[in-house]
Amino acid sequence: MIEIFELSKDFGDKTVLKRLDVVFENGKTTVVLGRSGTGKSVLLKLILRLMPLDSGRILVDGIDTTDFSESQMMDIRRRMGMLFQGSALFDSMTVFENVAYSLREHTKMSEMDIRLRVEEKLSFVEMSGTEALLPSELSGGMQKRIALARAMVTEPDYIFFDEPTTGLDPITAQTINELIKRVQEHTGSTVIVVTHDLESASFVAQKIVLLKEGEIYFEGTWDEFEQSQLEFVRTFRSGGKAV
Amino acid sequence: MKIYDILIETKAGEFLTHLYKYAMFLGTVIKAAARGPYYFNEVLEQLYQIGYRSLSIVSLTGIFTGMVMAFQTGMEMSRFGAKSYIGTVVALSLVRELGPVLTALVVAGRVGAGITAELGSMKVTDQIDAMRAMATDPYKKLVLTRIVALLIMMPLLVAVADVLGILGGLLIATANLNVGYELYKTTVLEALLMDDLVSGLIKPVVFAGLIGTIGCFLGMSTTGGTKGVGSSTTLSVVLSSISIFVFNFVMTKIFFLISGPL
Repeated sequence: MIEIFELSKDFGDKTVLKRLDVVFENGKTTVVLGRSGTGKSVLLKLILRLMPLDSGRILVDGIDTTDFSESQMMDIRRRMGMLFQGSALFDSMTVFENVAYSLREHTKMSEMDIRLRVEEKLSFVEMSGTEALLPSELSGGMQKRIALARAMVTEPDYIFFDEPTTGLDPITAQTINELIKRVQEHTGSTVIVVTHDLESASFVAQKIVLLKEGEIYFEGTWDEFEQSQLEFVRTFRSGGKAV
Repeated sequence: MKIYDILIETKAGEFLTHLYKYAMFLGTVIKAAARGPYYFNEVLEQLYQIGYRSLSIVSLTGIFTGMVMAFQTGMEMSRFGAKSYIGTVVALSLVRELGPVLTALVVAGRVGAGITAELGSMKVTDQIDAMRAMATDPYKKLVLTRIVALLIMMPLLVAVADVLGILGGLLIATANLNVGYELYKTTVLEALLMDDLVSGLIKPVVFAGLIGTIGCFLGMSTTGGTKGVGSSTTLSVVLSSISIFVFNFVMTKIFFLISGPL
């Protein structure tokens, strides 16, 4: 479980997160919704401590990681996987090397076992046979799937998705949504999806968190979100059209 | 607006801010070096990329510099009947100054720029963050390995440039200026003292440190997409080149103070 208390983050004069309190429960998929620039991606990066937080506390399975150093965070990060918005595959490595990266870095698995695990994960994301390709030879949707295979190869307790369907056509986006759902069901991991894609949210979410101006505006299930009469929820649902 | 904010916006304030960030970067690199894991295979790969693949351009730089030096000095010295000192002039100027400085400039352009562009591209496409998210320290895997490879390869590259430069000088001396092989060899060997060889090897190590740390620092702090990568890469070559000239002067001065004028 990830517990966040009074988390704040500023960039210069702009406050992105304002004393945010939120809990991500174990084994559930939580979707964080919000307009662009409301701090959704920043929230994930703060949990992974890819950037420093200004104030507040972050607890991972009861362990307060707020004051952890970079080297202390390494142990926490090993239990997490992240799919970045632009996939962030290592462009000088092949698909196989990308997916095998964490296994080679952090485990003593034999090359044979690594090969088997990589093939299993590539098969899971329906990308078998692409092992020798470079990321530049793949489409955006394929890169996302490889990035997902890379994020789940160590079978982490937590998997984060940063805008997983942004920039994809509706069919590919749905494939990614189905994969997110399957990953959660298959691994039992705690999943956090950051998006502004309502289709995606309705498909994968077990819990919705809507951010507005760095604060939580709404928290609940998808059904509750759909039925909510709160003004910003209605505006967000309707895509900004007058309601 | 606070006085601190006003000061920071001046050119001097901006420069000091960058200097502070560079110092912090050096601190992080030293901390990364103090504790494992160490990436020996990555260092080997960088030795190949940085060292072996720079060999041809460094060789050409050395040989043509030696040839030009011999030709220019030989022509002038023959007017005073001092042609026999060509070996001395070529050897001393190459080993003390031209070898280390020109090799460093070539490496700054080829390798330093490459490091900045590579790390900068990784930074702006979130690959550095992805590496950190996968519990790998990019300072150990990307930065330290490149700096170590540069520190190892630079003295070797300078040695190659020096030797080929002296041989280039020999070629011109014997073919164009009628200076015999034996005379050239004797004057070269008599001219070079241990102090020259030591300074000729210390300088490349310092230059390697400058090129490596400046290249990596600018790469790791790149922002602003592909335009930012371009700016960082240009800045890397400019700053490395300037610091090579400045540090070369300072080190030459120090070496002369230590060993005394000849």
